Amino acid sequence: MGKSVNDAGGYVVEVLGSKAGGPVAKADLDAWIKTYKVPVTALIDTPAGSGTKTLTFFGIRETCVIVDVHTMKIVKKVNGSVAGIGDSSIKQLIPQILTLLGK
Amino acid sequence: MKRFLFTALFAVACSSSSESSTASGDDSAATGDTAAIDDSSTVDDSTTPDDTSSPLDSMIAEVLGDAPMDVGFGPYPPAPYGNKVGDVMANLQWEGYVNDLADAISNTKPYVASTSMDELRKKASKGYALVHVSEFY
Repeated sequence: MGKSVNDAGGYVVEVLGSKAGGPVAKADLDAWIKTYKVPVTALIDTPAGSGTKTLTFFGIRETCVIVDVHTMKIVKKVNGSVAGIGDSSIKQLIPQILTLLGK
Repeated sequence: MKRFLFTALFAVACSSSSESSTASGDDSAATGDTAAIDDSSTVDDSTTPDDTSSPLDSMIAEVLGDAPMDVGFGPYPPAPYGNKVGDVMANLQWEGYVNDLADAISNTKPYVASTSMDELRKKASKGYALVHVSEFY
């Protein structure tokens, strides 16, 4: 899914914000990418294992936002289900960013 | 690197432009390349290349290709930051796998020890990026 956004001139950033609520190590990122075959830019807070700044900033996991990269203002936001019910937040926002990108 | 190349090419362009201006202001210098801009010369406008097809433009296009430039990206917007629609997202700092083309599983890409929202936003050539926060158990 993410490739369609990058191909359209957008950019997808996946952040593994926490592991069971705590900081994430590089090995966790590797395991997560391998498990879900993540095909887009996949990151953790730096330095690895030191905290959960991204999760703290957004307040809750399974959060997805579309940002205008010039103003960095959040133009769309979806909080998905942390119980895994229904479409993920990223799946919900991909059609919307593709529309913004003229697709 | 791109900025350096662009600056160098811009300097060449300015230099060429300056030479042409000097030559055009000196009617006696109608030799070599300056002959074509001598007032007494007959110039066929239909064969004069316009600005979009100059050798300099060709050089720039060849060097830069289709690569996106940082045009339009000023400094990262200042605080206050927030996480609601309409708020400015913070310039978060990360490490991990940068996969610009999204063309393979990301851990096949080199591990980057430091990147940020500011760096990554410049890769969204059409102005929008999507940021997703996940958790792993």
